[in-house]
This record gives sequence, structure tokens and C-alpha cells, in this order.
Amino acid sequence: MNAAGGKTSAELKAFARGTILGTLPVCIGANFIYSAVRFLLDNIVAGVLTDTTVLSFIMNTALSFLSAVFMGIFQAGLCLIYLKLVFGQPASVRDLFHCFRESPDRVVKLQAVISGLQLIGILPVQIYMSFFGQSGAVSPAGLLSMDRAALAGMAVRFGTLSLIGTVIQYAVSLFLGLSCYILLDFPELDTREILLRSVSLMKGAKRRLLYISLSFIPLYILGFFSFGIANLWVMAYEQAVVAAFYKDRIEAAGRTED
Amino acid sequence: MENSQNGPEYYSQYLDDGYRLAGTAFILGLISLGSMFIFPVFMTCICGPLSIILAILSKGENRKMISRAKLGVVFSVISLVLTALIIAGSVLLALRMMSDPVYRNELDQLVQRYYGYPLEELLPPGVFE
Repeated sequence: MNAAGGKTSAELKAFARGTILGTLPVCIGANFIYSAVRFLLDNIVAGVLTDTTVLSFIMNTALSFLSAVFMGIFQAGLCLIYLKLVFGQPASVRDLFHCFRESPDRVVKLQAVISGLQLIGILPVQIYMSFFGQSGAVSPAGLLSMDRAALAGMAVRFGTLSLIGTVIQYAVSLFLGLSCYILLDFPELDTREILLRSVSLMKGAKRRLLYISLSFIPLYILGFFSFGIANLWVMAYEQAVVAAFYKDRIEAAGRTED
Repeated sequence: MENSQNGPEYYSQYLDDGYRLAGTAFILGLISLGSMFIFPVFMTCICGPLSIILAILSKGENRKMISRAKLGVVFSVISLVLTALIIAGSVLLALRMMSDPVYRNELDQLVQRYYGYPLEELLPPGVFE
């Protein structure tokens, strides 16, 4: 137990490992389908419009948003699988498609809000790169022809905007990271109530979730060296830990209400 | 969501799964180390990290790994370190060949013998300057 009364990161990880131990084929199968769909969709979106006009930029941003919302339906399916597993219920790969069958409108509304907020984070860097791209400087030839001071200035601006974007995205994922589980666990709640409950559940637990997500970076780096294959297992482990974290938070909230 | 109960049968199955996963981690670690002599870098890069991650997952709720999983991790770490050394050595050798005229001449002859082109034609312009 930590100071806030919940399980520590190590305890959550141990619980998550125990949870997925006998059900790894389901977890890996679901993660593989999710990753394959995401890979295809990302490549389609990236390849549709490659010119650097303003209209193309707007179309690309809209397509990225729509694909993020669509992937959110799969993400909710993944959350359902891990939610079932941490509560000791049987799960199957079919659960990945659960939200296409049952109340997809709720998932789409929630994912539209979350994806919209995350888009705000990455929009400045995308606009900067897009307008910079119009001058031809982002091509290798353009970069080589630039003088050192201009290149350093570009790197600083790009780095700052990327950092701001990452901080916004992390903040959104910390405040609203449990909303998907709440959506599945409480079918009677609407989007606003789900978001508010997620924010209230994360009160006093954001640092713990941040620590959990940062602690997986070394494993993801290790998985990267295996051409991403091992990351299917790392993803399963991380998602099980987040689901266990949700279980812990919801039980802590129950204890407080009692 | 309601919590389901886990009985003794579940616990026995759970231990089996842990041992099976540790066995897989061990075999992958062994393949990773063995492939250093047959198919270095590529197989090691796939099997090594996978073995380490499976060994971690095989712990289940326990804090310690079983010996088979530990061995898998040791084999994987050794093979990954050796792979890193091979890659670093290759890069250093290539850099030395490019800067040293004697080595460069030897490499040029080797490339001409195998590919029929001089080295300068195969590499991007400006590499030797």
C-alpha cells in the first residue's frame, strides 16, 4: 500500500502479471489485430494526401482525427478484455469488437472528446512542420543547404513545440486515462459524467499512473530492438497494469464512499 | 464489474502457465545465444528481447523468477551485448577503412571482386572526402 491507500506500482504489476499469465494468447491476439489495423490506417492516412497545401493539411488533420476516433472503438474493446481479466472473468479476442456492436455512439462521443483534446497538443507542431515544409527545408536537400544557425533555430522551435504537445497529450491521458474503463463499467453514464468521474478518480493518483507509464519505456525500447514484435507482450503487460490500476482506484473510491 | 473467484485448480493452472512461459523464455534465450554463431544480429534481436520480456511475465505474482527464466535472461543479455559489440565493431571497421588508404584499397579490391564496381560508385558521393 502507498500513502494514498492504494496498491503500489510493484503490487499492481505483480497482480497484472498474474492476471495475464494464463490468458496471453487472447491478449497477444487482440493486441496483434489492434496494431495491424492501426498500422494500416496510419499508413493510409499518411499516404492519402502528401502535398503541402493548406487544404491538404486540413484534410490530413481531419482524417487523422477520424482515424483516432475509429481506433478508439478498438481501444475500448481492448480495455474491455483487460477489464474482464482483472476482474477474473473470461475474455476472448471477440471482445475487441464489442464496442462496434454495443452502443458505439457512446464510445465515438467519448473518443471524439479525447482525440480532440490530444489533437490540440500536436496541432502546433504539425502546423509548424507543414508551413516549414512549404519552403522545402524539411527535405534532406533543404536541410543540408541551411546554415548552422537556422538549423539550430528550427531544431529548438520544433523541440519546444513537440515538448509542449507531449506534455498536453500526457496531461490528457493522465486526467482521462480511465474514462474508457468507466464507459464500459458504468453503461448508464453519459460522456460528460464519464469524463468528470475519470478526473475525480485520478485525483491524487496521477503521479502513480505517470510513474507506471514511464516505467514501461525501457521495456518498449527493448521491444523496439526486436522490430516491435516483443512490444505485443509489453503492450499486454502495460494494459493489464492500467486495468489493475483502475480496479484499485474504483475499489478505493468504494471504500471512501462506505 | 463483478469479481470472479479463483480456486485451487486455477492456482495449479497458473503455476503451469508460469513454468511454461519460463521454459519458452529459456528456449528463446538459448536460440538467441546459439544464433550468434549461425545467424547473428537478426535472430538475436528478435529472440533476445522476447526472451527477457517473457521471463519477466513468467514471474506472475511472485517477486522472483524461476531458474529457467533467469537462465533465459542471462543468455539473452549475453547475446545482446555480443550483438552490440559486433555492430559497434563493424561500424568502427567501416570508418577505419574509409579513413585509412591501405584498408580502403583492400576494401576496394574486395568490392570490385564481388560486385564488379569500384567502392566509390557504390557509396554516396563525398564519403571519402
